[in-house]
Amino acid sequence: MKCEDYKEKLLEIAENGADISSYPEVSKHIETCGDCRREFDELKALFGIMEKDKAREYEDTRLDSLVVDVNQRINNEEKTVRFDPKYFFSILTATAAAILILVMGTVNFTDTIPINNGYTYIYDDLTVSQLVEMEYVTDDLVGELYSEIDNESLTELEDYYLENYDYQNILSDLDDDELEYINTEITEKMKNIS
Amino acid sequence: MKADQDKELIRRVIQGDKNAFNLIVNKYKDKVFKTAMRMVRNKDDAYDITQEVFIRAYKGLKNFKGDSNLYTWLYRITVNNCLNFTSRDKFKTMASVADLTTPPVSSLTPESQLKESQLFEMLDEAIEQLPPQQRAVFIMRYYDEMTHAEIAKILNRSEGAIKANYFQAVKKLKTALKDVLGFQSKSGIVDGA
Repeated sequence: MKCEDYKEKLLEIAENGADISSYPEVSKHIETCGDCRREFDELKALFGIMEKDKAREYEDTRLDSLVVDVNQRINNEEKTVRFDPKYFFSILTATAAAILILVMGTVNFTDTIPINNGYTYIYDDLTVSQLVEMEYVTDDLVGELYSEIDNESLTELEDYYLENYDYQNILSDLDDDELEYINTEITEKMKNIS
Repeated sequence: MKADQDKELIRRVIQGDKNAFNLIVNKYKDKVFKTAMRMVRNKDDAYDITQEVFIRAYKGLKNFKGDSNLYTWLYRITVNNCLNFTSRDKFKTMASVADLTTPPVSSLTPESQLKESQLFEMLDEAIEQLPPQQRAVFIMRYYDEMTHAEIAKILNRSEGAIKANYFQAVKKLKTALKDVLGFQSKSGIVDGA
């Protein structure tokens, strides 16, 4: 065996605190190899310290109130989730998108703004098909949009409506019951979609 | 029996029984804290990690499949949290001697106790200097006496890689403490293995 092989064995012996005389071949080697002898002595010393370190006990009086601290943090996180701005914004976005589509459905697009048939995304990550699933846009309406409005991107359409109906105004036009209804519906539908 | 008790506690937590969750926290907090302490060598950080472990456990218990026992699962979360913690370089200060309670029963004189404390400090520092993966492997292997195969499974790595990590960790510790180890061998403070 080479010294490298012995060193692996020496590590194992030192780690386990074993008696090297139980390993005659290794024992014989370190009698004649100064490097391996030194290696073994250092390993024994290292694991001697390690053994004492292993026996150290760690205490922290804060552990007595860990349950309270953990529960407090869980409660705080649950509250944070309820008021997560990102989540709130996604609901607002979905609401605005749905309202936009509703408004679009009441306008005669043919004379004003065409739409690109290939355009998929209406707003952020909501697609027409998802809005259809949300039942705010019927199949008929989508068909109407696609057939009657051509050649222009929906972005322009959105821009047009953003100019004329900003979200705040649209939302402020709704009464509390309508707003609550839309929020509830969209929240439910968003859950299903995600 | 213990596993059955844990399963019952888990079932109750999933049903919304917070008291059952509190029982789990109280049952395993010392073990989790000890593992975190060995890994990060700092009381404040170890306490933060311990909190984080139980918060994650609370959130994840619904998905706990019971393939392993509860403590093994918590241990895995602890190790991963410590690894993330160290890789975020949030390591604050070295564990001071004051962070540690009374050393193990020892017949050392005050003078040699001081030396032992200094040794622990140096050891803490040497362990802190290990790369996170090597440190984790070393702690799991030496302190928690896990096999290479068990560590490989938890860290999702090959046994060969774990062996190499362990070997490298020992080598680095030996190098870091070389002067002390030479002194120790001669002074006889450390009796040797």
